[in-house]
Amino acid sequence: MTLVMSSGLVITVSFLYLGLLFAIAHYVDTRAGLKRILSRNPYIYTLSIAVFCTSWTFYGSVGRAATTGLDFLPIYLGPTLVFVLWSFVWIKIIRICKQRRITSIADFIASRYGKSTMLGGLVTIIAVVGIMPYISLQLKSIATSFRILITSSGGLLPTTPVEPLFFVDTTLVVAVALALFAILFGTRHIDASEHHEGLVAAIAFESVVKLLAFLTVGGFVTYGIFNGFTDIFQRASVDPSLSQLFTVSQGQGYSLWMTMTLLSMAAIICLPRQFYITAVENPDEGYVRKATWLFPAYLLVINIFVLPIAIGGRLAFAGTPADADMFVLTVPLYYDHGFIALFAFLGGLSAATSMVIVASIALSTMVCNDLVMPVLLRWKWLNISRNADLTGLLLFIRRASILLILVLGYGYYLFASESHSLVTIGLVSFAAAAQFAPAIIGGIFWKDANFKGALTGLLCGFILWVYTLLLPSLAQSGWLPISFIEEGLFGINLLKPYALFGLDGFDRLTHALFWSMVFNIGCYWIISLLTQQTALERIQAKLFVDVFEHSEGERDNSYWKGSVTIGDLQQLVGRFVGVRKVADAFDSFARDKKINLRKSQVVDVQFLNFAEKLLAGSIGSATARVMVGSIVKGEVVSLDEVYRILDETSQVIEYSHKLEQKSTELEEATAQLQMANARLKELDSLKDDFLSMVSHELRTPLTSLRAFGEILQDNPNVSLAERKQFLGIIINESERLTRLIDQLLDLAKMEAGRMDWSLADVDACQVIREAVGTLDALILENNIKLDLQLAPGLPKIRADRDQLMQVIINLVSNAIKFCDQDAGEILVAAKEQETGLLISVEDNGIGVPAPLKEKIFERFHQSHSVAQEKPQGSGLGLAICRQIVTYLDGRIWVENKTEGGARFYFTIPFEQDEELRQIAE
Amino acid sequence: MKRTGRKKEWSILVFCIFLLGIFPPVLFVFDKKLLVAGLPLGFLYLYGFWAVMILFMAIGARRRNIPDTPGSPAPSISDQSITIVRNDPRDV
Repeated sequence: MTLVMSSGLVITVSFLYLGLLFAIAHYVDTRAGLKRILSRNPYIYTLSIAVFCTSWTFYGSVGRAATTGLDFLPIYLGPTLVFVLWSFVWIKIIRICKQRRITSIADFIASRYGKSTMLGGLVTIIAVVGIMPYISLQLKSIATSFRILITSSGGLLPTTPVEPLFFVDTTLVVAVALALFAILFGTRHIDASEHHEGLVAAIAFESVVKLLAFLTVGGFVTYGIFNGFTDIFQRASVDPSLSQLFTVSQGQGYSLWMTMTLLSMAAIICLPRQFYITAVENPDEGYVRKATWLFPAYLLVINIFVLPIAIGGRLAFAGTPADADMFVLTVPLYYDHGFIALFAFLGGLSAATSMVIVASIALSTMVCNDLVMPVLLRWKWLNISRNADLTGLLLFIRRASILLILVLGYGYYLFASESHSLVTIGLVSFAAAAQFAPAIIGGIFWKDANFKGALTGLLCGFILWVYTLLLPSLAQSGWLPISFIEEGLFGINLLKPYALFGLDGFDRLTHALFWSMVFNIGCYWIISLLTQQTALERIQAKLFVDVFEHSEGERDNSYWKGSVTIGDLQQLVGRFVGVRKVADAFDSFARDKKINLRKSQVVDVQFLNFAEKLLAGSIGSATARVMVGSIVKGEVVSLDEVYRILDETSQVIEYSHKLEQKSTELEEATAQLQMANARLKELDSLKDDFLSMVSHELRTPLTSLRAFGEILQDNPNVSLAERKQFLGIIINESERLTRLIDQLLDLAKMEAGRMDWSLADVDACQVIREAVGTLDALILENNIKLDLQLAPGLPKIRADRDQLMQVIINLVSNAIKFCDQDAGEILVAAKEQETGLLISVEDNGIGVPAPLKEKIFERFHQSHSVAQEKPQGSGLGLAICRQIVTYLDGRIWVENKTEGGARFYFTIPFEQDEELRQIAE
Repeated sequence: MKRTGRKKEWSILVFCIFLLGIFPPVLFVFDKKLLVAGLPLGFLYLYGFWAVMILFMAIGARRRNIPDTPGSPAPSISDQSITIVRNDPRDV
């Protein structure tokens, strides 16, 4: 079948198609029921995101695949990678957009960095200039495909340039037609933050059309002309130049592959139209859950046939020069399938128009809200801020900017894109859009990123992009001297745009991306760290980064403070949004909050915020802030309020610090308690031992007392001598009992601090002699040799005489107990030292085991002698000694003699400072 | 049912595997002119790997135990995101 397409037929089909789109949009917009169904549908949302696939995908991928093989794929792998992280990135961005009523990417960045009009303007300029090549790509593809379609016939492809359509360049006609269409389509509403269900439905429809068209062509080539995938690949594998296409790198390395992956990752977020359709037009966050895998699946499906078509084209046009970018169209034509070609043309048209429509709507909103309006509002002589109704002006600006954007795209097409492939052109745009990535990603995760950093980073990145990609592409087309590329600016080699600062050996894209990102991220980072945020920036940063914490319930995070009446506010917002609409919005807001509206009423902060958001939907957040600021009397924000917001963060930090401190303290306390507990247990067991000992000690004398008492009672005829002896024993045992109890009482008294001390100047030698004297009987009984070595002329010491004697008696009686059983020797010595008197008592017994040197001074500690199993003594003697010596400001300790036996020392100072002792007490 | 934040861990895992799979050196292994079952090895690997990753994403993104009742809007992802963020702010 031979089919010659008349230009009339193609034009008619094209306009019918565009008319259908328009009808869909209009139909959806006017049917409330349908609107609800469509706006609650994740599939429509997913298909609308597929606006990512433009002519680039439809025509360009095949072109790319036909020349460099599989390396068209990163453009689709990158977005998939980003959607893997949907819950980190997309949900956050979408939530912020909804909350702040963000209308575009410029609005987003401006709003994040302190609602700065300057930043919004810069982003807009970058976006418009950056998207220029992308638009030109669409124009080029539509115009080329149109020309090919109307001039080809029966396997012959046009070799000569086509005569102009309507006596003007086809591309210009396409540009104007698309501009008109976008204007009609996109600027029907004024509130850019409202959802445009009609638009979204039309875009979704286009996504279906382009997918079907591409699959049709793919199916036709793969199964119609060839015998399936394996057949195509089999044929290609015998041709070395074709089998090259099976690979990614073709021996060139992978830097371009990685660069394109990174670029497309950035692009899926940062391209104004993607941002707009994914975030601003998102009807429900939950739909992202579905889109996150469905959209990549769409990308996968639309790319299945790319390589087969590319190889099919190469096989068909082997030897003849043919534009690989148009294989999708020319291969069906070559095999004489005009209708498939026409369908392919429609697919390409749908891919291009969807991109142009969404991009121009997104960009025109930015141009209007972030570039033109701020400037107009500042020109006092225009007196625009007093004008009654500005909705007309807003619409005009948007329409004009759509036209301007398409004309710019056409201009770039004329100047630079004629000679380049579609993908090459598109990548230039991707690199421009990628410049937004640091500011956006940093902006939603890093609170300290500030306006100055973002501004400098963007500016530097943009300048480098212009220098390394845009200007050289113009130079290559002859619009700038070619020496610019070959010798660098002013002939400086280091400034060669494709080998900046001597960086050579990379492909142009990697080179440009590297330098622009180094400067972009570097400046953003460094300057953010070096400079301070303003109050408003801090607030916005917090609102963006902590968006999920502010989601529930509209918290009072306002920064307005001042007074304005409802009437004033309504008038202001009405000028931009439309009077009727504002009245309705205010009424419903009042109903929701259950308040009455009076024109003269002063609005509260909540209401002011609502109005500002309403305004922001129309003219962008930065401008809205300026406008509201112009009628609110009072400061923009009081320092106190800023601090209140900031304080929340610092309070949390402080609180957690305190918590940490507390828990450390708690741990310490626990450790101390554990130690104390262990010690208490030890003491407890000591006490038990002691009690058993004491009861035993008390029992022994008591038993003998009772026994002798009973003997005397039961045997009245006991001889006098025996009676005397028994009574003597009874008296002795009673004395022993009394002593034991006295010791206990003394110790208890001393420990409780209730001891009565009678301090006086005491002659220590005399005391020692007396003390030893009382023990004479015991010493003789045990057959012990006792020596006294008392230095002559010892000065008197201040002490309690009785207590001092007690110490010596205790030490000496201990020595008697523990000294050698057969030849006991005890030496009591006293000598003068610098600070006081040193008294020692030594024996020749077994000595004190080293670990017990301290313990023996504790209460209830009893030493066992080797000979006797039973502990000797009460376990109180040494404890009492220590109490007394310590009270007298001295020290008591024990050492082992080298020749065996223990030597107890204690010191008593000569003069005791009364005050010191009191303190010690 | 409370979210445990494991979906986030899952998506980080998938991201890492994905990145690993499509970048050299792994890519280098499959980037050959070889035909496997009549298809180029690179073609087979990249599309297959991509498809598996999409499957993983679908697994990670599916809604668990939340009945999607018509009429009342299903609990949106948003509520759950809040929980995650609250539970573990360092994730974000």
